[in-house]
Amino acid sequence: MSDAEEVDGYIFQWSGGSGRAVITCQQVFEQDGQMYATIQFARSNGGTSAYTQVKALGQTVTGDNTFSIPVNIGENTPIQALTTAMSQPHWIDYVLYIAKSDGSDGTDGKSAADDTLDDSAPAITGLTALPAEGENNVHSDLVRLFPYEDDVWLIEVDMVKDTARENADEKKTSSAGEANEASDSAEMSDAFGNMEESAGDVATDVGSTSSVYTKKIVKYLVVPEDFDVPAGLDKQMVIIRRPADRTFVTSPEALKIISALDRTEDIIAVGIDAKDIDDSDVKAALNKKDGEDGKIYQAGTFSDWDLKTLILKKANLAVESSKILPRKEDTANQDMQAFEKMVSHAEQMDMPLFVDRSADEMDTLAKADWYRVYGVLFDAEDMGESLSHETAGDN
Amino acid sequence: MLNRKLSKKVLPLVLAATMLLTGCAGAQGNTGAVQTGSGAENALGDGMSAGTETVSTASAAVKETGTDTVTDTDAAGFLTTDGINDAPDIQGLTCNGKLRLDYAERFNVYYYNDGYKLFAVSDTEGNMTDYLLIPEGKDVPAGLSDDIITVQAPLDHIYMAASGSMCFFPALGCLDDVTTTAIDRDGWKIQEPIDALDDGRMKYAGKYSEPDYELLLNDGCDAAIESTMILHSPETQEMLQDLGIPVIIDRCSYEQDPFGRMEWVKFYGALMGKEQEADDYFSREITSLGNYKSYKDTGKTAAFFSVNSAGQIMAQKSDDFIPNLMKMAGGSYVFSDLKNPAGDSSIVNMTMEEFYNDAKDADYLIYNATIEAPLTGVKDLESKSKLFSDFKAVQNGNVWQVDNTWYQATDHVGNLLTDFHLMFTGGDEDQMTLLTHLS
Repeated sequence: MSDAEEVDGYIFQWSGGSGRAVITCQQVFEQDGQMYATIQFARSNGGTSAYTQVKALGQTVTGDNTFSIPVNIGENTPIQALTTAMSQPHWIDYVLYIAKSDGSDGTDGKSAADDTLDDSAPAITGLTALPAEGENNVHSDLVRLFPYEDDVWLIEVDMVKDTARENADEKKTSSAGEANEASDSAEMSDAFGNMEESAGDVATDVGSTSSVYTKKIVKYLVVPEDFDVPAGLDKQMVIIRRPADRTFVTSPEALKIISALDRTEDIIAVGIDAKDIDDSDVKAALNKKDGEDGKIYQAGTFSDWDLKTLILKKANLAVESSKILPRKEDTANQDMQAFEKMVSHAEQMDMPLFVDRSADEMDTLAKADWYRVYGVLFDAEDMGESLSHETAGDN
Repeated sequence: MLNRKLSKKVLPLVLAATMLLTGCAGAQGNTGAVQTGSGAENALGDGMSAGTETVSTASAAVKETGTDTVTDTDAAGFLTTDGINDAPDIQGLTCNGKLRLDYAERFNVYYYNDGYKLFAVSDTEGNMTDYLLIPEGKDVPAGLSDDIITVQAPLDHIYMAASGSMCFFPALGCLDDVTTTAIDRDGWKIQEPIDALDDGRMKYAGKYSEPDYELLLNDGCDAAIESTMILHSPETQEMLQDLGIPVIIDRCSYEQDPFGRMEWVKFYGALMGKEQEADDYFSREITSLGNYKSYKDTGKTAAFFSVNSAGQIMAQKSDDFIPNLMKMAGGSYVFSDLKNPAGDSSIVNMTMEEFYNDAKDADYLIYNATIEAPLTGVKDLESKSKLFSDFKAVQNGNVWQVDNTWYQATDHVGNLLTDFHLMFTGGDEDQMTLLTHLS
């Protein structure tokens, strides 16, 4: 768990800002019945920050990058921090999550492995895993599905198995890493030449999420609409907030499953040739007039999205064909670059990118798992469960 | 018979027209006859009336032929044929003119047939970025290099993210063509964008690194004018371009000559088809500075710097905008040979001790409150380092400050020049608009 810190018997995680600053926790303590945390801001490249005030739980605390503030335990604490690094002081929003680290989260304390699928629900800070079902339904080597309390689910997808990346020696993702490292002085000099543009956080908008997508196992946390996601989780996994009711589908196989689940009304756009679509409702929706209720739009192809349409139609989930994954060794680098560019687009559009690997399943039992996965994504769990059993040939 | 002053302006128009018509690329279009900034000053010498007279003659000539494209037969004083051999080769197009520039070094505009214009912008290392303006109703030339960014005229839904160049749009009379901005109301110090945001003619569309793409698309955004900060957000630049919104990177603030910075009004004039307005504006501004050429060297020195949160001094390199302006104003920058070894930027970092060694005897200290927060007084400066109390300028009460208003008022660079001159000569502080005397 990359950003979780342990201090005084508590786990500390945080979200927010734009990647330029990092927050660490020095101490967690109680005072007059209220819990406090001493937090410190620093530049992620090691330089000094310039935060002078923090607002938390109704209190405003002054300081010099270090602040002792009141905090919630076991739930998010939203804060605002004032930076005077540029000519105009700016308040920046962050969220902190602090919880006791005694493993009271309903799992056996095992933390999620980074490069293999979990066999049982991994420990996730701030969440409680539900007990595993009696029989082990899992057959797929490409996807896993785990339930948590509060109607939260974890989907894990293996992005590397049966692709050109499987045996490759994975280097650090180049585009995300190096592009961000504008040195302080280059930044300040551009800042002088470009005043208000540089006020506030100057960081590039590629936070750590893109590195989430390039991990071997990509984790998707599916949460209910108003769920308060514990801070810091967005650095480890892709958050999909239900309902995913404006979905963009470029995988014909996923479309078939969504169709079987009777959830095609949650689709706003497709990147699939009409001749590869069987569902008559979807075909009819494609033929509707622009702006007509229930219209489904053609929005490019799996490798070439029609960004304008997706933005204007406010697509909120992409179910992407696994054809986007690198298959051949000699084109693996270009393929990964194309994938990363697609991820960058998706992030900027606030649209989670879910890669459908149901088409890559060799056997029916493994394929059956995907009915449950899409059942969860599209709020049709019962249907997903029963179709899964049906497909697997269970009675 | 033409009076002598008038003939100095009309002659270059006639020459330019002749050369354009005969396609005579080798002719010296602008030696002697064409008005340079200083030339105008000398020729007109005593004020604006003669200038206005000659300028209106030029406007009349252009109005006859239309203002948004320059055709071969335009007798336009703002064009020259000098240097058109440098024009990039574009398949199917012929270059017949180049925008006449007297001070700016970071850009050129080449004029081709049928109204196509190529904007060539360079960084201080000579790396070029080319933008081709496609005239209304015309197509992108077949086989155009992928390296050339195309921009479709007319531009009337611009997203402005370069705060230093917004001022040129009201100056050219086309503020209405800037419909979205990356700087919200609180970030503006000049009145026109504030008014436009207040009455809804302009909308805030998110900061440069996080634009509201939906808003931009719904607005029909046809170009994003960005500062070089966008280079730190390549994904954003890519996204805008992938959405069909060309990104034009403004380099006005990289001009080392103060008048060169102001001459970017001609870049935007060419982009918006308002070359004559830009030319007139620029000439007027230069003229209105009066006799800056007669400012005598006062022998005074000044430092221009800020202190960052790590206690380091951020000074300007010697061959740059502010030091050059100080020279013009009758003073000089305390560092005569400060360079930035690392490349393009204006700023050189140094320790307080190094700064003390070279600047303790400067007559004036001017605090740069554009990137760091403004000082509240001399004590505020002294609190940043004990060494400041030993500075001559501090002991003599000569600590001054400039805030970020001047940065947005690029079109009136003369104001800062005048302020510096007043400071160096001990003139009337009430006349200053950008410099503040700290106590």
